[in-house]
Amino acid sequence: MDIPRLSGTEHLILQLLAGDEMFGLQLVEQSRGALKRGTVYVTLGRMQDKGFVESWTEKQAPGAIGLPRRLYRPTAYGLRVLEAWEAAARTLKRRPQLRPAT
Amino acid sequence: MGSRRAYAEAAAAIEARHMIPGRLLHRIAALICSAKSCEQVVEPAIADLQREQGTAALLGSYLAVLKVLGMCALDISDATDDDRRAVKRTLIWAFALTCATTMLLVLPPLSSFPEVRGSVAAMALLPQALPLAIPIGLAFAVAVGLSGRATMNVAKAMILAMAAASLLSFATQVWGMPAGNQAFRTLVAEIARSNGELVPSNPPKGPNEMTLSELSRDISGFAASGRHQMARRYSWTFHLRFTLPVAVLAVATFLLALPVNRRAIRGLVAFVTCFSYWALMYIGEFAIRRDYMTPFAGAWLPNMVLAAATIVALSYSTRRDSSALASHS
Repeated sequence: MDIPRLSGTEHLILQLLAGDEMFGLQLVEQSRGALKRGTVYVTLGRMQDKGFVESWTEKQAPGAIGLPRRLYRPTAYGLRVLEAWEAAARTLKRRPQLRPAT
Repeated sequence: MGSRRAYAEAAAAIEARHMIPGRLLHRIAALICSAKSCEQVVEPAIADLQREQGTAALLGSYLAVLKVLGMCALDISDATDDDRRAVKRTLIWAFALTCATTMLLVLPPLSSFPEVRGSVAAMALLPQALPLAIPIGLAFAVAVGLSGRATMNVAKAMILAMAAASLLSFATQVWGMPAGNQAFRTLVAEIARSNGELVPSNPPKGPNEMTLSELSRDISGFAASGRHQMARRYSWTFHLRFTLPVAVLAVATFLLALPVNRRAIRGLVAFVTCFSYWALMYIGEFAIRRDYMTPFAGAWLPNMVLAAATIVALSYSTRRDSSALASHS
């Protein structure tokens, strides 16, 4: 079976979310510049469509103004895809042992 | 008393609502984005913006929301990293080529008047060079920056960039060029006067130094006094202020629709397109002067020819794609 495609940004988001659920801005801060504010929500929306992450809006205190923030966490499927990609990356990193011909 | 307090609270709530940053952006998003994009992409970005403290952070958040809005409005939120790289590369090419072409167009008049060399003279000449440099720069950037045919996401982003470049060109033509040209002429006149030549300190304006209202006033004046040749010449200049900004869209859209993948051929087509546009512009001017064409038709001739060529290129590539699909199935 083919592993679903995972872009570099999607991979990073799944890695960051594997630790804890986060808001978009927290992801940007945690990525130390690797994620941009202008694209993080677009990528998160795409990942939600693919079933890699799920989201819900935070509960606001009564009288709070402004829009509620959205929290994200990986789905079980998203975590499996991440594991599959990391396993594939580990396999590719392992260099074959070259032995002289006897 | 109670009702007054209730009114004050309601007013404060309204005021507070108006003070929340991002409310206008939220309304715009509701108009131009799908409900799903609004909920999943725009609203979380605005929610972050509303919690930002400090001017710099708020400004960064506004820019981020604007970018998100643009991507959602163009429906390019599913753009891949390859699409983004292609757009970035093409825009960098466009910027570099526009700067280089502007330099090439500014240098000859500067070298013809060695006395007026300097940053002020160069700045005065920039507005007349930019409307020509922008379509040339963008045309070659689309030809060279995009390797092969653009995906729908790249095409949408490029059309947005072309529209922005077209607006810049229009603003330069309408406001920048008349002022810049007249400033350069005044500078030359001042130097000539300092050399003892008898020239007026404020030289009379020619058609390229006039604003749109001045041009239209003179066109009516020439037509009323029976000087039709002059009226046609000024009318051509008047229409050119609108046709050159549209040329940005016409030339680059044609190259975007071009069903050719090889970069060298695309570059060659870009050169031929720019040269043809220039030739058609002068054919139009000649036809207007000889009264073979109305100033409107003569000035819009190159754009109309390019629009027809774009339709032909698009229909050819659509037909080719459908026949390729049919042969696969």
